[in-house]
Amino acid sequence: MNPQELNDWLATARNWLQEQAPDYSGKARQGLTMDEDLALGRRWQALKSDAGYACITLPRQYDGGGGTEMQKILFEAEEKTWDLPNTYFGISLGMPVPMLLRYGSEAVKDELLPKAIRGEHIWCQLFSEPAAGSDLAALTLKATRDGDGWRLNGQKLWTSWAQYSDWGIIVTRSDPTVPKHAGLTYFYLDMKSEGVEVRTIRKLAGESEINEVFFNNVYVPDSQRMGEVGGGFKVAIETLMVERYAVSDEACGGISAERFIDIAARARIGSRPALEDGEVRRLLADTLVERQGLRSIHRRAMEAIAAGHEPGPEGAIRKLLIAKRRLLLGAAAMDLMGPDALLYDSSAAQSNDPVNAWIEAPPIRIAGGTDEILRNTIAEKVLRLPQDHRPDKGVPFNQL
Amino acid sequence: MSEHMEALVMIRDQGRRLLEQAATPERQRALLDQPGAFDRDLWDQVVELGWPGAGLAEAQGGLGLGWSAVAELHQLLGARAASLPLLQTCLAVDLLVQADADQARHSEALAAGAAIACVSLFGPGEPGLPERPLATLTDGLLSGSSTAVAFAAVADIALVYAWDSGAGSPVWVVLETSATGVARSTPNVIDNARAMAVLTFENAHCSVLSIKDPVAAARRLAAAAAVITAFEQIGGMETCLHDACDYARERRVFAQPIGAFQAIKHGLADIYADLEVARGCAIDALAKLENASPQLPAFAAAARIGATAAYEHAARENIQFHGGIGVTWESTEHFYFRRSRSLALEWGSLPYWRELLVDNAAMLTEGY
Amino acid sequence: MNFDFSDDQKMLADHARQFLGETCTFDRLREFVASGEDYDRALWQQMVELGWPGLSVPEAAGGLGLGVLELCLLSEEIGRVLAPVPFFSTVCQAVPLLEQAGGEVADSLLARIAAGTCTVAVANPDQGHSLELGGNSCLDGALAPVAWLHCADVLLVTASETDGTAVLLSVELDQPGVQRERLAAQVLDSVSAWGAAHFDKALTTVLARGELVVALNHKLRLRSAVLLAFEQLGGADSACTMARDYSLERYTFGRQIGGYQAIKHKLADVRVAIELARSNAYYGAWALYTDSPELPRAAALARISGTETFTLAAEENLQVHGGIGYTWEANCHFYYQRARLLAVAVGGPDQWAAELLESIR
Repeated sequence: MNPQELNDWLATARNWLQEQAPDYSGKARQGLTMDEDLALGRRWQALKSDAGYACITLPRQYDGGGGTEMQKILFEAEEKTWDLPNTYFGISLGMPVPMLLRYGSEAVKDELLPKAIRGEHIWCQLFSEPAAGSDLAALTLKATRDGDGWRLNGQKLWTSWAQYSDWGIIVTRSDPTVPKHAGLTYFYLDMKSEGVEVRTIRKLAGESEINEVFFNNVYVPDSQRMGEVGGGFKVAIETLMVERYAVSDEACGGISAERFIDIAARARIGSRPALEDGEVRRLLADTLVERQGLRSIHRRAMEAIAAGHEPGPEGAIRKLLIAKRRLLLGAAAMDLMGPDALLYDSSAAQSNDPVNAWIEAPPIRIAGGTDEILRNTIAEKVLRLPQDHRPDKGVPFNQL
Repeated sequence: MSEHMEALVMIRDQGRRLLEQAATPERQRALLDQPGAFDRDLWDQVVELGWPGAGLAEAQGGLGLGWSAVAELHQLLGARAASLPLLQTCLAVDLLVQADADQARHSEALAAGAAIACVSLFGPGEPGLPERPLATLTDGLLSGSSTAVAFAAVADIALVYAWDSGAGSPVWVVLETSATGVARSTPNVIDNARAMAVLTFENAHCSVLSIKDPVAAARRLAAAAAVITAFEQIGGMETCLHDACDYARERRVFAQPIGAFQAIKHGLADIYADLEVARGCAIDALAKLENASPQLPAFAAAARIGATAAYEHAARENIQFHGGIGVTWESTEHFYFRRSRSLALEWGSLPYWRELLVDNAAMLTEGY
Repeated sequence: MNFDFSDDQKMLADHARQFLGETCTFDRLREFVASGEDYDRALWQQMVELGWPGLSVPEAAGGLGLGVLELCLLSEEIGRVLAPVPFFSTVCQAVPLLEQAGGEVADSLLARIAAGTCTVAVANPDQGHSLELGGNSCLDGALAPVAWLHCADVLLVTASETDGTAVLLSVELDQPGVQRERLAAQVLDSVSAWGAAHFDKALTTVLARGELVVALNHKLRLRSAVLLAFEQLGGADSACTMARDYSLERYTFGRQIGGYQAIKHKLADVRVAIELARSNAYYGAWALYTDSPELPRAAALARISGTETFTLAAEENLQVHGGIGYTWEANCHFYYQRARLLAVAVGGPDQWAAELLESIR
């Protein structure tokens, strides 16, 4: 697609959103329970699929959009300007579904992919465990051979949307006698299988999408294995790399610099407007500089993708910076509001309300790579620094 | 590749080779020991390569490669902690062409590298542009003094932002440093390799530049200086980061390379993040400078703040990562430590630029 | 200044720490939140038995006649366990206000507090602007949010007479002219409770008037800053300990996470901040105790340092815990929310920073 065609395509998509999105966003979602909101989300997903805007990079034969990465990024950025109920499908369509496309049989893909893409099914990703988060290969959920299949026993943790999931992808320990990365095997499974129990975990604040999932002798046929026996770690890493460029809004879901200015202009410190305070201005200047730099990085990544190149490694700094910034700006705005900031209405929009922006910030600094792991990744992958000292390397898992 | 691009690549590659061979640590140490020092040999060599005129329009005797060439060359200079008055040449010519035609002889000499310029803009005792500059023009003669100004020690001509006591407003004047009534002193400064000097004027003869709005010209000049300097700062921090990473891979304690310890590796990751934010700001600001965009003030301020804070961070931590060796005269780390502070002070310090950015925040988002 | 707490005072603190450590556990906080109770009455009753409400009430009014230093230490211990009781408003704020205001009504309130039969809510001085005081000292208007307002026996609030004169009022809250509600679900910190009240010709007593009220409120603000700094110090210290314990227990890549410098140095930085905050809080205590002219400066320093430190400790505790940190089950959120609550409680850091600069110019 040349730039002109891409522009035309985007204009059409924008019009389509203008026409359709109001019925699925903002006011249309107010006061809905999570179940009702999800039902609305499923309808939105189906509508998008009919118009070719769901899973834009996946083939049309499975009800995807059959488009390019660039189209996907542009559409998602546009979609983010509407407050739509698509959070339930973020993981499902972001990782498990593209993996199924790579590893599933034709028959399975024909049956399952359209359902997932249209929002009828949700897929979850069963990776982390109580003792295996950042260190994924430390997982202990056991897979043992049973006839032409496997039996799974153990526990997963932090599984987003498991409470609504129909299918899941899972990494298991199939051989504890070899070093930890070598003994893992990867499957997909029916979440309604006998022996699967999902418990939702209450978060420090807000509605919860996270769960613990218990496996009590759950049967999985060997035909649902993805990759080699013992090759699970490689497939897991492949899963995490599927989305080479994830779109995230520049305020990380929290309040924007403009919203902060708005609050600071109205608040007073002593006899002066808070916006005239040096400390407030310094925070604001630093925020604007950081955002400006990240905008430039984003723009260059877009240009690279459009030209068919890989975006530069500098994109890796984005989440590290904006997650922390969201927390800082939220707290600083609350400071300026004084005791009014004590009142907490969990239904207020996080992008508008500093209290929600602040209170829901900590999970972002942890999920999808903690700040510490992100710094390790930048240091090792970009700056080519050595790995941390690793006493677990090369040692059979059951001797650790 | 366009002709311009080819010329740019050539000039850059030649420059890089030249600097690698000529801008050595030994040379830098010698310069640092001598107040007002200037690497004349290096200057003569880059003049041969056509650097002074690289960014200037062909009408002014330049190669017409624009601000992006000046930015690239300053990034190279920054990487080797070398100091040459390319930016000053461009700023001076920019001012001169706005003024009368009889300043053309200055422009030609500057473009050819036959003359060196310095620019006295910021005043003492404040981080930003002075409302009332210290040097005063009375009946066509200049009196007063500048602060320590880079390349003033070797400049043939000086562009001075002065106070016109007759009109009661700022004015730009140009004078020859050899003129009667002009004296210069070279105090010891934190970075002696910058050829810094204080100029003192006593009824010195000068020419007033007929610029319609001298204050606006001063702001524009500061913005251009901020953007180009940002690239010099980026060059410097790239070297700091590169050196620190090398050292972290090589130096071992407790049977591990120090780069395997998170205090070091995460510290380096943070510098990388700062560097890339600064680069993003500088790239976008350069585009605004080249297009003479009305959004330049905010973008230049973002570039200035991003690069200044990041360079100082990188230079400071680079010494820390090197441990004891980092604080010796023999190490190269202090070149960048000095330079980062000197550049942070030369074109208005951050309190001024933060004000400018916050006051013009909306400019950043126009058309985004 | 050469300042430390006496052995008796330290003993009081040790006892308090032991008592609160055993009684006010995370499980109890959780039960408290689930129960929907206004405040932890059983715990408050135990504190009454220990004589805490009357700690600084003069012996003549039935109190223990101890001073502000004892209050500092108890505040630290209460901050450590985030006890859900109206200790700060009743003991740290109301008692000195009443004592300094003087008069019969104040004395009888002091006696009730010491006897453990009265809890008090105290509104910030600038919250009473919209209240109208009519004839016969009848009060009209609305007030929110004030800690424990929905459940306290008495409210102390500053209002203005029709000519603008400031008056300090005490309001018996259990009367027909007062309607109250709990701002339960909507308040930031789940283990403290905040209320709103509506007054319709409510009967009040004027405790002080004019210049005296301004002086009392000024002193109240500084005292609150110092005592809250101790509460913040206690919270920061226990959040830091909690993070340390977890970092010893949790393993990744074959190592205790506390062995990684990212975690180890984070905790060291928190520890450094705590020591600094402690030192600033002690300075505040000394200034309060000696009624030093340095009090405005000392209070601002204690307040700024306390706020920054508790915020840092609470955030980093959560971060050190990783994924488990943001669940309701892990207790990190108690500190995270309380730290923010205390940060905005009596003026944010920017405001205190401005006052600090004012006090040293």
